Amino acid sequence: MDFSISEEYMMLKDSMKEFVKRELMPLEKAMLERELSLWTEPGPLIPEEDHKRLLKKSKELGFWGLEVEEKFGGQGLGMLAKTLVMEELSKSLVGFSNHGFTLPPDAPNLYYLNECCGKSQRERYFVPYCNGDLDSAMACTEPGAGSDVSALKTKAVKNGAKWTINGTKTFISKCDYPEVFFIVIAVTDASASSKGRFTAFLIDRGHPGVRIGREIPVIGAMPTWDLILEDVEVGDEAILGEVGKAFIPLQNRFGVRRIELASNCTGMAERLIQMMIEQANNRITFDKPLAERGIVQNWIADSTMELESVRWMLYYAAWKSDQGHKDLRIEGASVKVAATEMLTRVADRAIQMHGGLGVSHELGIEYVARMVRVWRILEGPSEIHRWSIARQLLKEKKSYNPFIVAKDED
Amino acid sequence: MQIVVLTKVVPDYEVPSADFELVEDRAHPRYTRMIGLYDENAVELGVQLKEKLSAELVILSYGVSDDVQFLRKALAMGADKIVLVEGTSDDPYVIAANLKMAVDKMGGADLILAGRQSSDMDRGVVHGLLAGMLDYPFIPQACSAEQADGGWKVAQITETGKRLLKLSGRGVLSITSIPENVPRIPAVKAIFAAKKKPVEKLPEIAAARMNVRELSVRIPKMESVCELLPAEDLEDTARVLLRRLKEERYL
Repeated sequence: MDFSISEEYMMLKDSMKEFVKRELMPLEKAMLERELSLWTEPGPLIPEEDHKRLLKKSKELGFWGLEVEEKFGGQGLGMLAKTLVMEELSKSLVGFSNHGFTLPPDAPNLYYLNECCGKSQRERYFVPYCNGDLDSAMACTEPGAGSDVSALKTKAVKNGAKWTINGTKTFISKCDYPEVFFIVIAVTDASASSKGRFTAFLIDRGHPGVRIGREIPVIGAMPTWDLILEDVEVGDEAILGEVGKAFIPLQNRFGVRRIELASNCTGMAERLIQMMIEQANNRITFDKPLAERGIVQNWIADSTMELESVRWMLYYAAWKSDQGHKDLRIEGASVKVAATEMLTRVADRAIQMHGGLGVSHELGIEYVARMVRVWRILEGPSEIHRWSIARQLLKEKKSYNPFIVAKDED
Repeated sequence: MQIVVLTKVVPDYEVPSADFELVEDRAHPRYTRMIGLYDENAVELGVQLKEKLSAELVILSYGVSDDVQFLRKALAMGADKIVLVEGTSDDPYVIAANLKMAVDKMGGADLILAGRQSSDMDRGVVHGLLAGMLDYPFIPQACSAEQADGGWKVAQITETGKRLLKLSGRGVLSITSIPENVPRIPAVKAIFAAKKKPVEKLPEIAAARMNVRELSVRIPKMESVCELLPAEDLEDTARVLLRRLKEERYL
C-alpha cells in the first residue's frame, strides 16, 4: 500500500489553497453578514459580480470539471483529485457550502448524467452542463417521501407518444438559477418493485406546467423550493436512462454526492482544528493558556483523530470510484455519516473553546455548525445510512471487505 | 534568448517568525518547504518576459535533490527547465560559485533574475556575488524589465519612488514585489505538464568559503499589530482609537 501523494496532486491542492487565500477568504466577512439576512432577503450569499469573477478565475485555472472526461471539456482527473481540491475549497466559509461558491459542474448529477444520457441529451444537457452554461438539480423528494422513495407520488403516465407528469416535489435546490434543468423522478409503474418503478425525466425549468413554489427557509444557507409539476408533457427524449430504471443509478448518484459532501466536512474540520490550536495557545484564563488544560488538549486530540479517520475513509471511497467501482453504497453511506457527525462534534468543541465568540456570528463557527446540522439530514439522514449499511452486510452475511487487489501493470 | 531565475527552496515563510523553532541554528525540518517569497516574484517576471520574448526560462537552484518537487511549481507557472546544483553549503560564496558554474555551462544568460532576498536568511547576498563573479552588472531592488536596444530597461524601486535604468547588455537583477509580479497560481493543465519538463542535476564544485563565521542565530520574540489612524483632527483620532480598542475587545 502506498499512502504517498503525487507531486501533481500536492500542487493541485496548493493551487486551490492559494485561490482560496486570494479570492475567497476576503469575502468571508461580507458573506457572514449577508447570511444573517438570507431568510428575509432571499438570493445569493455573495454578490453576483464576485460570483462571476470567481467562476471566471476558477475556469481559467482549470478547476472546472476536474472529474469530467477530457472529451467533454473537463480535466479527466477523477474523484480523488476532486476530493483533494474540494477539501481545500471547503476551508473557506464561502467554498464550504454550495450556496456560497462551488466548482461547476456539481459532481453528483455529472456521474448520473454521464452514465445515462442519450446522444441528443448529451448535446442538449450534458455538454452545456459540463461547461457551466447550464445547471442541474435533482427533483426527487416529496412532501410525503424523503428517504423512503417507495412513497413517491409524482406520476408519469404515457398517453400516445407523450408522457404526462403530475406531482409536487419539495426541498429542490437551484430553482432560482436562470439556466437550470431538473432530473425529475416519477413513478411509471406503481405495481413494480423499487428497481422497476421509477423513471428519471430531464425537464427544463421553463417547461410548460413546471411551477416554482414557495422557498423553504432552513437553519443554514441552503435555499430550496417546492417544485410543482402540473400536466407537464414530455416525449421519450426526456427520459434519462431506461423507463422504470431510475433507482440503481439514483442510488449510485447519491453515493458520489455523499463522498463530495464528506470532503466539505473534512476540509472545514481541518480549519476549525487550526482555529482551536491558535485559540488554545493564545487565550489566557486564570494565568494559564487554554493549551495547558487537559480538556482542551482532549478536544484537539479527539478532533484530530476523528478527522483523520474520516479523511482516509474518504480518500479510499474517492479512489475506489476512480477505479471504476460504481456501487459505492456502503462507502458513500459510511463516509457521509462519519464526516457529518465528525464535523458536528468538531464544530461544537470549537464553539466551546472560543466561548462567547464561538457562538457569535463573527468567527463563522456557528455557521458551520448550522450547515452541518442540515447535512446530517440532507442526502439521507444518518439513521437511514446506518440501516442500509447494516442491511447490506446482514444480507451478505459477511463483514465489509475493503481490500481490492492491485492489478498487474501492462 | 535565455533568462535564468535563481530560486531557493526555503522553510514555510508564512510561519510567524516568533513560532519558528531552530535546530542547530536552522529551521526545524518539520516545516513545509517552498520556493522563497521574492523568488516567486522573480519567477513571475521571468514567465512574463518569456511569454513576451519567446525566451527559454531556466530555473537555477542550489540545494538538495528533494528540492525539485518544490521547484516544479516554477515549471507549472511557465518555466521550461530546472537546473539544480546539488549541494548543502550555506555559504553565499560557495553558492554563488556553484551557480556561476551552472550559468557558464549554459553558455551564459541574457538576463538573470533573483528574489531580492531569501525568505529564510534574508541575506540578499548571493545574486550580487554571482553578478561579480560573472562580471555582469547588478541592479538591486528591481521590479520590472523590458527588452530595449539589445539590452534591458529596468525599473528600480527606491525608498522614495521608482527610477528607470538602462542595461546595455546582460545583467543580474534582484527583484522586489509589486502588484504586477504577484506570482500566478499554477493552472491544472500546467501542473500536470510540469512533471514532463526537464530537470538537470549538476554536482557541486569546490569553492572557497566567505571569510565570515556565524556565531549564533536568534529569533527575537516580537508581538506587534500596527494600524495607522488618520490624525488630522486629534479629538476625532482619539474617538476612533477608543472605538477600535473596544471593537477589538481590549477595553
